[in-house]
Amino acid sequence: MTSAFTSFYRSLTRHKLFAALNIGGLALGIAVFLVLSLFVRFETGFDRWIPGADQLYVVQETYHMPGYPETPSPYTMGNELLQLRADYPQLQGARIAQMGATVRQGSSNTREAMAAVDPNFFALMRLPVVAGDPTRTLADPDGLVLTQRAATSYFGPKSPIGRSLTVIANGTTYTYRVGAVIADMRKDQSYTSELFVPLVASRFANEWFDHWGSTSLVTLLRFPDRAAARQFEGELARFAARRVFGDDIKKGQWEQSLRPLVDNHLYAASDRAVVTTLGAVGVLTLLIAIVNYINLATARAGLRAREVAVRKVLGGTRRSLIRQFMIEAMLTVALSALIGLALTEIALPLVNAAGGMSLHLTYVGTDSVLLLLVPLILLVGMIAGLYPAAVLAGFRPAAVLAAARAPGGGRAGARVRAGLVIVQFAVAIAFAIGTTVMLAQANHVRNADLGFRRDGLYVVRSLNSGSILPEQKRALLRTFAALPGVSHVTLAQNAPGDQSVTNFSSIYQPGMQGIRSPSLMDVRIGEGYFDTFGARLIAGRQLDPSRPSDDMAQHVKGSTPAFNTVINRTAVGLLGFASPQAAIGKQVDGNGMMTIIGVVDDLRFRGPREAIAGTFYRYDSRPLNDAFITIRYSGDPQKMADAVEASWKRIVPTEPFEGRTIEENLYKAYYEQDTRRGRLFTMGAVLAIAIGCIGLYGLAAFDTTRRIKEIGIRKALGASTRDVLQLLVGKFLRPVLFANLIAWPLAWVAMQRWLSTFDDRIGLSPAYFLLASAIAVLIAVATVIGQSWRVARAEPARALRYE
Amino acid sequence: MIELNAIHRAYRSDEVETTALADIDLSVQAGEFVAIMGPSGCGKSTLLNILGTIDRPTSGTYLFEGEDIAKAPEAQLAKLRRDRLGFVFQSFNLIDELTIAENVALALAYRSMPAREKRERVDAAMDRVGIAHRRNHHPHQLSGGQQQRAAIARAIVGEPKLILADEPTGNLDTENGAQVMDILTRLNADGATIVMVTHSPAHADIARRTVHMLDGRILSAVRRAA
Repeated sequence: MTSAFTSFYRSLTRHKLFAALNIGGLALGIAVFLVLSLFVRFETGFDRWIPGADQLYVVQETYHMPGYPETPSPYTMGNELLQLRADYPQLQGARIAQMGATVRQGSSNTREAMAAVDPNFFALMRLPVVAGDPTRTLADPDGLVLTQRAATSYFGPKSPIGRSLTVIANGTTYTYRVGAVIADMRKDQSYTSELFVPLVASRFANEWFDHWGSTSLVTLLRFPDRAAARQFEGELARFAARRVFGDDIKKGQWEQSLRPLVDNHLYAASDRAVVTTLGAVGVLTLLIAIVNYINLATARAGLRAREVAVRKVLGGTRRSLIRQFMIEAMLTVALSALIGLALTEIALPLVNAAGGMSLHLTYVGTDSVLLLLVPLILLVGMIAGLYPAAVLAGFRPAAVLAAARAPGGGRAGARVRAGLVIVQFAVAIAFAIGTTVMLAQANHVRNADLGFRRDGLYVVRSLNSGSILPEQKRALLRTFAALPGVSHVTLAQNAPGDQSVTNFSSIYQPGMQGIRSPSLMDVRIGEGYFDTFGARLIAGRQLDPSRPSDDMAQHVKGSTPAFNTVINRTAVGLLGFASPQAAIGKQVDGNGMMTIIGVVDDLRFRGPREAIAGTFYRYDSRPLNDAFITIRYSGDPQKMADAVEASWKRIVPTEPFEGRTIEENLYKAYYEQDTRRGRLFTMGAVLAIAIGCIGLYGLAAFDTTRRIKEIGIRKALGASTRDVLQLLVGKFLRPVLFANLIAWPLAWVAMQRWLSTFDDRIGLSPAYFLLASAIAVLIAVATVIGQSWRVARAEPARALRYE
Repeated sequence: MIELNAIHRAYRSDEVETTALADIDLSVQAGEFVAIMGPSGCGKSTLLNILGTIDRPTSGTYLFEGEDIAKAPEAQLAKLRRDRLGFVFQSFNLIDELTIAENVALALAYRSMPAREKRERVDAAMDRVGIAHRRNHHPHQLSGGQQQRAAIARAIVGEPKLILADEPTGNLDTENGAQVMDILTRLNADGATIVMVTHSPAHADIARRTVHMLDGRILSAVRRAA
């Protein structure tokens, strides 16, 4: 055993380059694998840590209407749970309505996330309790449950139980009494909030709360098992027939189903695809590193053939030799794993920063990383050790001592190594293509025409608290418009990256109801909306505040004449007009009679993944509730932000200010997650390619060393340096080129699928494939050529003396 | 054909400088068969390597067919070796992964000529040394004598003007050695110039001239009448 350790130590120090490549490459692979498996565990572990989470289900709704997104929405009407309970008294459920609220302490106002929940919420969602009894607390209409963070922030280190807190929600001031404290929210949790208050209808129900077709909150149900949940899903159809279907919602247009809470986070196929892909990147990178390791280990074993031959001559048995090689392999892999673990610890803070996560390694318990690493060490060590051990121990000593080329495991060995290089580079090239396509798509999303100019726009998002008076809104609009550099200001229900109210209505040309009645999104806008965004008017005219028929405020419900609306380009097609021009002056019905007076080009206010909804815009001269102010300005963004905030504090001193540039707003709402995941993918892909190159480098180093004498012979026979270079580089290029044949279809299918999750996307051009492959080939040539050059140039006489 | 003037070759390792060849003057006429003899380490192989342009002199001039190639660029030397030189080594230096025919063809690999002509020349060369029946074997499947004959086939397949043989019989038994010497004699008779390093006085006698070396210098040259 001691001699095995000595031999291990010496084999490390004797072939320093090989040892470094071997151990470093595998360590890097293990690190990438660990980081990405932590990511996968994080993403797939959402809510699973909550006791009894697998018994919880979210009621979701799907609309089947033209123009309306078919994706299920996990929100319901406010009082659905009460109606369900009336029909199914045994049913267990709780509601959660998430909102923003302002906490007032003296003169300081802080915006917090608040949730209004049924008193039994914490009996279903069993979040860890720090103090008090949440369920009993919420039985009191003024009871308040806080997270530890909120408790400490408002009451310091002393116990908050029994203390009171002033909270402004929907414009009304309440005094709540703290009854319980729960643990801080986690990042792997679907439904989070800092403050939890009882869901009192008189406080939190709006005009839509009790209307089918509206979505006010999340309805959670609990079932003992999946079968019971599935059975109840069948009941939901009968429930809808009894309670829901009627004039507003017709059978076939709408259905409800149950979404397991634990599936909630990765419910979208595109999200699951990203997590699967990143998981695959981790596994494949590890695979590349293992392939590398085995490749280099078997190659290196050849260089030790003489040592083996001598040991055999001196009486070493096959068994003792195999044991020696196995121990060496295990020790090397263990060393790699240790370094990989260290690399992971070093990388995690960076990865967390880049990916917006809270990944960490656990060493003890059921989550222990060692449970993953130890079998990995044994397995890799076994494979990596067994092959060279068997090959080397099988060498015939006489043949080894007499051979011209140093043995490298024979023809079969060389073929296996070439095959492994192909696998490795196929994966690496597929990653390179994936990275290229993702970067191109990201670039496209950054620069795509959204229908409006995205620079020089600033959005004020803090008008939603409900406590801002109409006069204050008017004053804000006036003041912002007067700021230096501001050209337009508008108040509307949406802004790029934001929408407060999303209403869809079935709109149709007279006589076309039911035949062609698409769901169009209803957006209410204030003055200057299209000018602020720089939207392109493609037919007709804009809504004009000076014309009474353009203003909803002056329109009496049910009266004629019809009021005027502007629709977008998508709506033109959905309504069945031949051209934007053809729509002008036409009347449409479904939400009261409306006359189309203008068509604007599509405005992409939502993310690149969502299709643009057919939209009709209506002007309202009254300051809208639940709205956003968007400002068009020129000049320094920071100065503008400061000026806007200063004006806000003067006019609405009681409400905290929140504002962003549109670029930031879009990024936070739609691009951030893709960007972060893209970064993770790129990191993984770059490292996978790097590990592949380490392998190729090592193999090239090994092969050229082994062939020094042969090269001498070839040169003596008249081969020029160029001939030799061609020979050596060509040998390594062939498998790399062949790898392209495998990589291209793989990458094509994968990237086609990925791109299909975007509505606004680039085409999958061969250029990305050629570029990525060219880069891979270049890197491969650069990796090999240094060594080949050195050997190809050497004096043949020296090479011929080489042993 | 060959004119060496004041050839000097020194090897430098960290601090020690070893002189392998000192002040060598040697000329070889076209059609000659020259043997170089001397004890181990006297510089025979170094001299042969310099003649074969696979090693470079530290100083001195080397005229090959009137052209000074002592400082010629590597590409020119590769071309010279390819077109005009043939090598036979003591340890054969066949490549294990290639068959005998492929090994022989290696000497033509870097020339542009029709594949058919290459094949014909390879066949002819193997016929000439009596190894054609072993064409699809690998070197390790052959006896030493057969391997050396294959190496000679490789050396002559390109129809070189000068054949350089470094102890071609050194690893062979008497009978195989004699066969190899027969082949070399015939090649010389057919017009090839041969320079051969050998330890065997008997084999040196077959050459028309013997150059004796000691400690990197030429002692004397014995010339026999043809």
